[in-house]
Amino acid sequence: MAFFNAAPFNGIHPADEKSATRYKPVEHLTTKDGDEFYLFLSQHIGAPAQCIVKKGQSVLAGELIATASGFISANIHSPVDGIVQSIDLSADHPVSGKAPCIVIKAVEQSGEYMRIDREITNIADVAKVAGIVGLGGAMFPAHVKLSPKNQLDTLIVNGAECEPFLTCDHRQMLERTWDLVQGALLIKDALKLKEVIFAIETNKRDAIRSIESMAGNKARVQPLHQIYPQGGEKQQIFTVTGREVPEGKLPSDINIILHNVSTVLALRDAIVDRKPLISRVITISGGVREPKNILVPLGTPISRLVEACGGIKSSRRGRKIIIGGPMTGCTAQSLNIPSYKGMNGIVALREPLFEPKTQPCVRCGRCIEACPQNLSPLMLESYARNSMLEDLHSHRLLSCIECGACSYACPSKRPLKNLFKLAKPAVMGYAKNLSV
Amino acid sequence: MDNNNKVNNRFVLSIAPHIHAGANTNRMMFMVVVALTPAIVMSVLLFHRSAVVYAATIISALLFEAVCSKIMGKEHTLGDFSAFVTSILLAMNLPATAPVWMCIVGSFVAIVIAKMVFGGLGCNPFNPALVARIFLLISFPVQMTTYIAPSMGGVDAVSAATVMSAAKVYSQAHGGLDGYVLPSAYQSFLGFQAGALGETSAIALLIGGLFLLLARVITWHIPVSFLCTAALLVCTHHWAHPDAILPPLVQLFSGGLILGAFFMATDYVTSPLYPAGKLIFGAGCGVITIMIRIFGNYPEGVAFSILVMNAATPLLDRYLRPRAYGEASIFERDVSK
Repeated sequence: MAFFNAAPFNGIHPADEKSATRYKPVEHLTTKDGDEFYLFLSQHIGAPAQCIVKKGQSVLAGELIATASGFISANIHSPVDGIVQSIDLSADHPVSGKAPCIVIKAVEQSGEYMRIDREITNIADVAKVAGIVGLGGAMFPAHVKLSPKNQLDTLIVNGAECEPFLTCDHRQMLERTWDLVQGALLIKDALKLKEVIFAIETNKRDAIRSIESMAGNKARVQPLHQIYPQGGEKQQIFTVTGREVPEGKLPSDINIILHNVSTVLALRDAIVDRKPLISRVITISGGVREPKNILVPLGTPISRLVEACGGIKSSRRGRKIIIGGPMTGCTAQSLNIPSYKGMNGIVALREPLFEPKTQPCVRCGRCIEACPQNLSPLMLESYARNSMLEDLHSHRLLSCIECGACSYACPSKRPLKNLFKLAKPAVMGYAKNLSV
Repeated sequence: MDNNNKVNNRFVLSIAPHIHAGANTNRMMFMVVVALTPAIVMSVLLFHRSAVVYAATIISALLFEAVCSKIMGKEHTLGDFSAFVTSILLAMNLPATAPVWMCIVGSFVAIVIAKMVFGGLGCNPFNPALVARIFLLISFPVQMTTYIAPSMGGVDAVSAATVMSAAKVYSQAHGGLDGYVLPSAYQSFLGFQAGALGETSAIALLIGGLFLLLARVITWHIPVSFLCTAALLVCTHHWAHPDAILPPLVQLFSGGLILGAFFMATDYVTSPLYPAGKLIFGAGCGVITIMIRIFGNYPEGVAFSILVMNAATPLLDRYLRPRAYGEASIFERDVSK
């Protein structure tokens, strides 16, 4: 096993809560006739895709139903064989409330999918056609990362999975080890990289071992200390390579490309199996009767996923469903939310009424200790409350990655991260005015 | 899918993060009380009357805090233990003979003038307990310097001078400590000496300070740099002029040095945030304390040194901010922006 790299930041150490699902093999969710699938036109960062199907049209699994409407945008494919029922606002979106979606009603499934044209060989083009985005949750279109302007040298496969509860990447590393290594090597060859590094937290020793034995000398496995947010792009790059992404720059500017485990697997499926991105693995954990990892066709309403896990345990204190992990995920307003490309987990919290009373800041400095970006959350908070844009900018508010470590650590339970999120647009405007 | 709508209104909505470390400001403040317990017990054993001083200070401080919160229209904040800690620290700065009215005046200055006027917990620029101590020292010099010798066996209190002030008086009269009977460092360490309640027993304070460090309530930076700077200066000066000042160990274990270094200078609200700032803060406290002890008119300088450095805290915070991830180093920064 390779040596440990000391983490360059303190971060926080939440309980990992992964034992409920870490030994549960990925199950497949079967599609029945008449099941409805709701596909958001915007399942990625950037411009929403443009719908190219009409109501009543029958589609096959893997058939393109919406095309990317710009460079930073992504294709969307039908997850099942079915009929387009409508294009409307019927599904709930955890962030925007309602969002336009294509509703597809499943018919009898052939079990096949429409393959990507074999003529397309360039990796970025394949990713673009297959509609692959960052599946770790960021949903940044993968083809943008795969068409760098400069020569890159290192691929980091992010298997840190530092969010509590989530195990979808862990299970895939165990169950599809060779596919994962193959996918990483395909990216390496396509971009003519020097090195592939798998970065995995040490709470997944089984995954570390199996990837090490599978990759041999073709790739390096870097065990990481179990610290949140070790899976953050910038933190991981620094821990693994010692390189720092300068402010406002991208990993490609320091010759690094970083992809999540699920994204690499999706790329491998697109290149080798010619399969567009129509399903993904989701961890459903917390207060459900039977926590599971499930391979889910995109667009499946989470009500069906929760049902597949035996339903949510009843609680007198109300319920809170988190889309994603408990550190960065957003709460669901209903179970009408369909799964989308960036959804890596559904966590039903057992004690959901966490509405703490805030106390004055006593400047204890726990937030400073926790911040992986070396910022000073407590100073930023007082600047943000007083709209001091200049100080917010000079104290690097725009470097905040919104990981929530400061809010997690604060003994006075001050909503630090929320304030930073709210203050950012104004500071961006201020910074823009500075540079012109 | 509409059949799910009936449960919609029962989902709790909130913004991430949805979990919390469980750290608690009240508990952290309470830890300070726990850490002060050995010193409190020791002082009550040494000077029986100190129980009166503690009681008067604590009760009046809590009352003032409650009344202020009421006037300011805030929910009362007695539960956060901050007034409790402040009042204990204030009591530790008073002699065992302090009259009750003086304890109440001290509490008023600490809580009302030094803390609540600025907006309450987290807003005061200066350490409230020290502001009160200095206020009392300047206003009531006689009462503030009437110390008694420890009365372990319950014998009647005999008035006595502190080690520091006796040495100061002697050296000012004789132009040096030549011929002065030195107290042993061992006595100072255990606490068998005259002094303010919290300034006598170094061992009890050290136990408390160690507890605070281990419980991660405070970091090592301020106490270590404070004590090391003080020790360095005292040793150098003592080496150069052995007759001019008390020997280093007596210096370190007498007066308010240990209390100041572990409990007063490390006050979150009034000390710097970043490691570099903390080191400078501690060193500054050390230098000023020893300068006052050697060259000043007052025998003791810990309280003054911490207050002076409190004033420097915003400056230290502003200019010693660590480099953020990805930020250019100080040398590479474009100053024009």
